[in-house]
Amino acid sequence: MKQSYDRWLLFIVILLILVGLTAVYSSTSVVSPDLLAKYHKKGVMLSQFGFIRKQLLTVVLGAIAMFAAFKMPLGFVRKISVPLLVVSLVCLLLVFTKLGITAGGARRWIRIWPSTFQPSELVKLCMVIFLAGYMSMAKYSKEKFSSFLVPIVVMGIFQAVFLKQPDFGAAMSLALLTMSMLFLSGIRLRYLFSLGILGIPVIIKLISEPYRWKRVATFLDPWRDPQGSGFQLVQSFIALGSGGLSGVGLGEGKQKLFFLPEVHTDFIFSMIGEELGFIGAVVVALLFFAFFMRGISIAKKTSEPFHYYLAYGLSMMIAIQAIFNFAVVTGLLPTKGLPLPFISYGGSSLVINMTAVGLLLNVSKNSRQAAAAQGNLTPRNQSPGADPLKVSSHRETRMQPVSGRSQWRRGTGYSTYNRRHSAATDRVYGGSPGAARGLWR
Amino acid sequence: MKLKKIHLGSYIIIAVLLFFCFKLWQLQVLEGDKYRALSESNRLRIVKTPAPRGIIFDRNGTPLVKDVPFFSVSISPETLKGLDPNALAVFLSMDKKEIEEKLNRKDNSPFIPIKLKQGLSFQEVAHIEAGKSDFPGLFVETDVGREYLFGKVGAHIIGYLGKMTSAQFDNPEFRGFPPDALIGQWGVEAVFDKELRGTPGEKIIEVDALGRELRLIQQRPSIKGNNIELSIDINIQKAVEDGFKDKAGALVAIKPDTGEILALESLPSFDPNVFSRGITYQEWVSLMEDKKNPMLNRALQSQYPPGSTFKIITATAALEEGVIDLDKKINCTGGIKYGKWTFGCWKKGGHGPIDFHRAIVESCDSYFYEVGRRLGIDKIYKYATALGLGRETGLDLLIKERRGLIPNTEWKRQKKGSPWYLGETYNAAIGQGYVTVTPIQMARMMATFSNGGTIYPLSLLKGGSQPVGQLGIKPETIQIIKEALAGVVNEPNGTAHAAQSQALLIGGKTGTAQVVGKQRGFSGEKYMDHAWFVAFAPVDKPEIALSVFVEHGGHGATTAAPIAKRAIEAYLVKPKPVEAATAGPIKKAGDFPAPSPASPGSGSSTHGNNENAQGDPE
Repeated sequence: MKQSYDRWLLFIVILLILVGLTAVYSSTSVVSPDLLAKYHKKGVMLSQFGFIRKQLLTVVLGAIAMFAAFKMPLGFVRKISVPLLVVSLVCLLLVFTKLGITAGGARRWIRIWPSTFQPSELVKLCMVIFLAGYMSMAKYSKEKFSSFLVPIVVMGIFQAVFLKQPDFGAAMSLALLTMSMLFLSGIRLRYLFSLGILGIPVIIKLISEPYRWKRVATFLDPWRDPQGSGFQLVQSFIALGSGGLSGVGLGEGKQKLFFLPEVHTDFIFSMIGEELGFIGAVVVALLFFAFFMRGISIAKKTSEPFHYYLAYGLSMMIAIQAIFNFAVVTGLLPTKGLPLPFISYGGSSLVINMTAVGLLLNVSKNSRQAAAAQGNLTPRNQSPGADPLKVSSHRETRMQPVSGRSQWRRGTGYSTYNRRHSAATDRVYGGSPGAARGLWR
Repeated sequence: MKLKKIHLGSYIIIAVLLFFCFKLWQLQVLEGDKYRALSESNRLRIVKTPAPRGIIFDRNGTPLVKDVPFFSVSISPETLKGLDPNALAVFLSMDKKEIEEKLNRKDNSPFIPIKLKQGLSFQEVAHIEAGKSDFPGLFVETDVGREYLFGKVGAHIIGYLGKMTSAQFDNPEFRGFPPDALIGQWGVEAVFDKELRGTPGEKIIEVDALGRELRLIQQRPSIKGNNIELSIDINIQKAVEDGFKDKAGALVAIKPDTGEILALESLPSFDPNVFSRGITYQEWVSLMEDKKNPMLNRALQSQYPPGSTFKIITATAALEEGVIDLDKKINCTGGIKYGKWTFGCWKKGGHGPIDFHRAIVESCDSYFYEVGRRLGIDKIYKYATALGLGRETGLDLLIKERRGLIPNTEWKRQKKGSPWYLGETYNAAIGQGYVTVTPIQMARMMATFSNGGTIYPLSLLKGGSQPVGQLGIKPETIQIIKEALAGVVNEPNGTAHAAQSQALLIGGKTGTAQVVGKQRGFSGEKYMDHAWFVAFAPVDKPEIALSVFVEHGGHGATTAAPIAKRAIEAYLVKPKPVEAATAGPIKKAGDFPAPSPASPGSGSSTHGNNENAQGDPE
């Protein structure tokens, strides 16, 4: 049997990475003297190709990670979900040791020779794997408060570390990621709401910190201090605005020349908006949207709860980062150090996101194999080019009961499947995809 | 729950993305003009902060130059739109054409200010600062200029800083330099420009539409250039400058045991401060058209017959080749006859019977005619070239050094197409005829000879360099000739008695280079002979060797020798410090009480020495 995976997803990711490489080159080929001086102090001589060369290397590294994640048995991934989470916590705590690097008053990086690494990226990925594993466990019940409590406590531990760093952006995206996955699992909404109410004093406490309050105030009205705290946002607006409908032309942007700080990382989207205009910006946004829809369709096609949650969580993880980044550059959210997935310059984010893509492709490969194994009822009409919005028709073709396991597929949908049955199969087959496949054959 | 949660997630994402696209539409399309206008008003200015240039010291640690502010006025390229060049030209009192040419250069960068006028006076700076609000983007820049603390003294060796020439502008070495950068253009400033230059810093500032500085975006400090310590002693240079008075000429002094240049003076000189201030066209023209040619480095670029100073070489060849017997006297009758020509000795009536030592001391031409005849031109050629004549010394001052000429039979046949005549050997033996040398060649010859024959490359930096060769001349030869040269200065009838020092024992040789035309009956300063003097001191262990050349100086003994004495004393006889006991290696006054090591029976002839070789066969 021919192995298959979601080629559309891979294609979209490759497009995004290509857009990213072009944007990184455009924003860093004009090496600004301040960057030159900054890197010169570290003993690095920057050239026109300095950044792009490193980014290309990262892409190669990311591709290796992606392939490894694609080949890794998902049952194994599930088994090591808790150890992985612990490892990510250790990595995160390492920023407070000698390995940690302090930049801009925050400890967000650790030094891994010869580069640096941002553990918060790893934490997001490990959290998704952990939650997917946890929610697909037999004892998990959306009705039980204890099932709700465990992810929240785990998340709370990470949040505490994030706020200590401080990395408010990572804290926010992790919270949103956890919430959305809990929501998907069908947890009682009142739990989520009560958590939201509990969070209010925390948010007030955070905002009361002067620098953060300043940031929020700036966000609300960047024009109050366009030369000071509002500078970055105002310059981002200027970049996007001067791009107009069709942009000033690739490489012609002016804002990247010293005006817009962090243009090759957090604010790369502003530069895309300046150089490629509204059209280019919307195309990039649509690529992310397509990516998300592909991810969701992979989730919906799978028959394993772990795979289902994993695919959903990973798609969500990338979508949340992209949306946060879009929101920041257009002034919809206060400024945070959140990179745009696949596009921003930076190794940790790219490698982790490409690993996530590898896992997503892995899930798609498994569900296709499962579907194909399902008594050839679905001749592989679900070609890689299928419209991601039309997956429902495909699901109906798979509604044939093949084994007892199919029971949970009935009902109102995957998100409301019968937990007890699922728990039973998990107990019997250990949740291993291999074991499950064995049954289906 | 009826709504599928996974679809709810998608709907939320879609809603957020839609909202986001709406926000983008608003920012980019609806409000685009506003932001484009703002983008226009983002004005960056890159201001180079000049690097202090390295200081040039002499060998005693005396600074020769000083960094001083050099003001220039520049304009930011973004402000050029709508600028009236006429008004600007009037404001800066510049030519309109010049301004337009500068503003419309093809290689102007959109971010680097264009320099309009350099070398502003304080009044001009005040005028611009007061009225610059009429011209957005106009501002005064401060660069590093040079003040040459000793003015004309040593100008040829220290050099000057000047605007880049068009050839330098195309040179890859200066890529990235602003077109009006000040770089070393002459002398040491040019030779060691790279070391002295330093790395300029950069300041990126943002300015508003009126050119007011809003904020400093980034700054990179400049790095000062390296200091350099020259081998020259400014005291010698000063003494030489004084000694020459208004005469033109050159002096080169070398430390014989290292090859260091102790002094290199070419006169008349120029004031390098004129260049570093930003020389005006008129000043440049007047320098170039000056008949005395102050920009000519006479030490390296003028070549003349060496006259009797060449007898040192003839004598060396004679002893080495064994063509003479030291004690055997040759009778000088005031000249010799060769065919229809007479080759006279400068002493009318002749020296009578004269031996080797006295022939040098009294500079007897007849004796050396005979020596030359016995040697033949090719032997003379061999020793002259071995001592560095007839080719460049290789001292790199970035100017074309002249080679002089040492003839031989081969050269004559190739260049003139005729055989060598004995009469030409007579002339060559006393440094006349075809033979020409430069002052630096003669100084080096003296240095090599006086140190016993070790050849050092010449160096402008303190410390000198390793020897590159050995002449292989017998020590006795050098000793005998050195004694004779000491006699020239110190014996009563020596030709260079004027150079005798009370402080130390100097050895040397005078020379006179004929000026064509004198024989034809012309007179006046223009037709006076050129005077030479080569010397070294102290005789037993030389620490300085030099050559002096005075254009139209008349006799070597009367004009050139006193300058040499001044230079030697300036170097070796330092004003005694209070604790005189620690005077160091310098020979103290009184070590050599003017005695002559030469043989006693010297005739008490006059000082009226008049060297002159007559009877040029051509």
